[in-house]
Amino acid sequence: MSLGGIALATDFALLIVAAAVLSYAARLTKQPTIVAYVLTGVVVGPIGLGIVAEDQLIEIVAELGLGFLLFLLGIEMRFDDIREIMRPVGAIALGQAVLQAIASTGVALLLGFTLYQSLMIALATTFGATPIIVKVLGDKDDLKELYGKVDVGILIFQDIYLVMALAILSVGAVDNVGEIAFSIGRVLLLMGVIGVVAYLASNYLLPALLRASAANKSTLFTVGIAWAFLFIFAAESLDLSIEIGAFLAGLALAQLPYSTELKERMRPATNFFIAIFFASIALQMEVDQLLAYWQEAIAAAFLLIVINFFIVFGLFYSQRFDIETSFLGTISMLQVSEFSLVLGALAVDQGFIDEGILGFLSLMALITMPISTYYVIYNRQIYAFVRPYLERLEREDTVEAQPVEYADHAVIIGYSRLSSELAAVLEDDVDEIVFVEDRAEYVGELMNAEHGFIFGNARHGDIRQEANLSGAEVLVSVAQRADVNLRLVEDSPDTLSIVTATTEDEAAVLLENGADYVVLERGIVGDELANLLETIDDREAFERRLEELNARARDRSQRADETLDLGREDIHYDAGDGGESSGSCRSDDADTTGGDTDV
Amino acid sequence: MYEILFALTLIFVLAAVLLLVAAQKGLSVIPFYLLAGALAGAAIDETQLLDLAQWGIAFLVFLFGIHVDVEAFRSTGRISVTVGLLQASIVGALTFGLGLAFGLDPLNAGYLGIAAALSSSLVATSYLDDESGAQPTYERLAESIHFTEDLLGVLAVLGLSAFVYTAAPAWEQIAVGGGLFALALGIRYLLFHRLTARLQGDPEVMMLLGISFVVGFIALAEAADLSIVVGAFAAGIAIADDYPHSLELVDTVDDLEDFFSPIFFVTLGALLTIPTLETIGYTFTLVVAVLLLNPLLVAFILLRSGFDGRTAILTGLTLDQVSIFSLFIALEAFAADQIAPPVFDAIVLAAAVTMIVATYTGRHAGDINRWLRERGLIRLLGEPLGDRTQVAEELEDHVIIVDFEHGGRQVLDACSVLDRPTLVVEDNPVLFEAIRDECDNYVYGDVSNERVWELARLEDAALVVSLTPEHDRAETVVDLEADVPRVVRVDSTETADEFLARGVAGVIYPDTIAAERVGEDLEALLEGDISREEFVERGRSHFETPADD
Repeated sequence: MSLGGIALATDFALLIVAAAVLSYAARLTKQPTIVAYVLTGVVVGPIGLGIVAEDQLIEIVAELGLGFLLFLLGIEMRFDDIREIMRPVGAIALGQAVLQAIASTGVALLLGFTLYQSLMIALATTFGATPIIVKVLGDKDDLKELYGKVDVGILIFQDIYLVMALAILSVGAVDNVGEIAFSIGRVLLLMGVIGVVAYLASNYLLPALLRASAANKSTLFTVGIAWAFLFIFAAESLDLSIEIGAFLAGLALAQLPYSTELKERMRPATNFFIAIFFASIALQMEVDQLLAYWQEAIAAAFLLIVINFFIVFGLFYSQRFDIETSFLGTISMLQVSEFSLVLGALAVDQGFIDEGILGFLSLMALITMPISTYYVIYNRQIYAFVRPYLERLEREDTVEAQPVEYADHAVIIGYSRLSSELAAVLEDDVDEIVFVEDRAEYVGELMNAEHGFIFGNARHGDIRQEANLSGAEVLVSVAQRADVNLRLVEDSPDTLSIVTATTEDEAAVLLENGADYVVLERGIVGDELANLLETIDDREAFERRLEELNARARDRSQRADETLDLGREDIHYDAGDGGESSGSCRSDDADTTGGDTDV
Repeated sequence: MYEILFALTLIFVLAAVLLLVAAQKGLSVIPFYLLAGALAGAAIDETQLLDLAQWGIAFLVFLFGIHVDVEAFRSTGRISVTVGLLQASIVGALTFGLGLAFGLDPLNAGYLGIAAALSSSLVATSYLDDESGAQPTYERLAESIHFTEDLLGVLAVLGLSAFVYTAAPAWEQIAVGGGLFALALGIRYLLFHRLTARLQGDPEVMMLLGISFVVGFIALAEAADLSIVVGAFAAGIAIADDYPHSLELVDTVDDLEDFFSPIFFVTLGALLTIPTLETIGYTFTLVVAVLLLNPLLVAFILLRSGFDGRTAILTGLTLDQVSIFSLFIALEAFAADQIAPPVFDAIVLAAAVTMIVATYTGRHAGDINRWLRERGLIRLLGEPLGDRTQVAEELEDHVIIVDFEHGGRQVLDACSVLDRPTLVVEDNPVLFEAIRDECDNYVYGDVSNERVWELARLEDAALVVSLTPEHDRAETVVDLEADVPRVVRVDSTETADEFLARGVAGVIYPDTIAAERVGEDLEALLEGDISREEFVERGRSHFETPADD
């Protein structure tokens, strides 16, 4: 198979195809893809068909995947998002880490693991699984709910814990206490140095750098990747784990306005690489390693789900959350996380544990993740079922739900003359106006304006979510791409939508799919010219109208008030005769909060 | 791990810096990548990167396959195939002959011929993308000519892998290649939508599905001893680029391209050696063929087939760069040890040079066209005029409308109500039938051609309305030397100021007009003057939707 010397690595190809098939099946059964990836390794690796062995390419891509994953986790650490609930969330996260570690150690000891193994298991099993929580709650549109926000907050704190655990693991197996202390000290010092560099860059270098790179579609992404690689490489050179480097690189970007767009651009590459990482875990495992502790894994999975429920629920409750929030927030967190596998795989690499323990962790993940997906999906039904038993815990004076970021607002996609003038019209009628724009030349202007501003492209779901598009009162989009406009209109069925189109066909499709008002510039221009030409024989009127057109074209200011009565008589349609006053854009059914938070 | 991390870090840091520079100056980034590779070649061991670089090729070709717009190809297809084939075979044959004359063996002369004949769609589409609104004629033409040449590129790859890289030449492989494309088309029209419908837009699984398409087709191609380029292209064909997949699948795979393409181009650059005199000779030959011969030849053929001068020149100018496919071919041949190092270097160098020049000519295409017309070159090439023109004898006091599509149709309707004679100046042959049916007077041709204006009886006209969004065409109307008031479309306040200062009677700035109209409607709605239904009704009143069924 020499084909000009270029041949695709067959193992790699098989792994990807298998992962695609299994994740397709996972999607049909509403399972998280991570389960599919881990199973992929099991199916095609030595345990199953034995057709794929870990080769160099798989190893490199898996390693990169892990780095990118941590980079994204870093980018997602936006403290602003959880500022209001920082204190209770921090308390829950800390309490959970300590109490669950104790519980896991206890359970592991009970099941006959050595103390050392038990501690490693405890270290690895105290996380909630981000892919399940964020994905399922996102699909249910529950991330805006109080419990969703608390869970996401806890996950953010767990990321810090993960990085600490990684730091400890990266020290490697050493013999005496003095060396351990020295190594940990060294790791912490170097992390501190990198952290300081990241912090300084975040304040002085990155804002200007990213602003310059926002000019072009590929630049922001490439600059982001280069930034990540610099830190990954630095960490590798300093003998630190590359994940820590990647995480700090992400953290430096997180507080900047470009982070959501960058994260969305990085996501496909990360998803692709991380799929390879999770699939590769089982590639190094033999069947007796995976099943070495299968009875223990089943027992531990169920014991920990039950014990952790009480721990987390108690912590939620102690932080004065109401019982519904506490319950929903708790059951979302009950599963073994993908981080267990990350830590387990690294611990195997470093020689801390043998592959049997990694098999044990993998099995626990494979058991708890699929089950937990269903109880997260049906969390409200379960709550309705257990509610009578919990009612006596009901109390007054619970933590209030925070309002969603944007409510009673207008979302404006794209900054142009048209959209800024419409914003001026809307100003008094909505509480807030949010611009979404990803062209660099407008960033400065929009960031300084009094309106909200999200840097990003509306084609990304996260950007639409951040703007709370589905809960917006008004949508104005001047996006160039017809498919983006179509998606925007579909995403906001109750919203008053004004979108632009380039051709009559596009306009027809948009109207059909629920757009209220389609702006077809060529139609409006033709219309306007037709009006102008009517006056062509009346020199004076003709020139007056031309003057008006010229004045508008040259007017650099925002919509000036006197333009309102310009050319009123030239307009074809009857200016509304005002018979009806019912027409308000504030449709009563606009559902911004989901409505079932009972606080 | 350390070496590969070092190489990747270096590649991406270089790529990021160069992209920043390129973006500031508005240049194509590929030459910079190649340059970066040449520099980085000293520090990294590029053989390690060949694995990832081949992924780069696979993704680039795959994406190209996805973006192939079969519909657009149909509308201008026949002429583009003719033009593409003619140009490629003439220039290819010439360069091939020259290569033989230089003393190269037929195979290496063949590589030179291919590199000279084919043009890059990837670079061209990246700067064609910037234009907003509907595509002008030359872009549509250029796109389908590029498509023709890329198909030739795929055929060249297919042929090379069937007859050159393998020990025993085999016609079966050509058949297998055909089978792959048949399979791809089958998937696209029969299976793809069924497969994706059940995913409900999950981008993660969609992306994996897309990638496994590439991988699967590549594996099939490899099994048949074909180049991975053939497989990747077929995989791209299998994926439909329509809504909503354009958002959920294509965009995510597009993002992956940004990861792999720097790796590919930098690796390619790293494979370069210090140029010898021989290399420079070949490079010069290629550059001349690609920069001068290709555009002129294409313009000539287009003019002979009845297109106006501007369309011909502008289309020709999109073809003045070495094709990415030539680079793939060069890399594959390099890996197979089937190409002479000077030829390989020359192809890569010529690609870098022509891509830099192409960015420049692309941006100044309008000026170049004017310059050439002033020098009489376009007439020399034989610009047709008058065969698609109809002007009434006694026409006067008429309104001349430049550009039918961007509002011209409405102006025409208004004029017919007012009994005002009109004349349309247009260069888009796709609209010809519509114009012939709807207009009494029309002139097909280039606005920068004075004869067009003579035919249009500019001196007797009452008004000229230019609605074209293309800046150079608008400028030509602004600078017309006649005592007729002109109204010209602009797209920014600055241009409005500039054009008014240059003497036009009025400017049409669509955004401001739309803002005025929509703003009034919205205000009426917000103040309760009209109901939401009336608001919707007003929105619809600005245009007629085709087929209101």
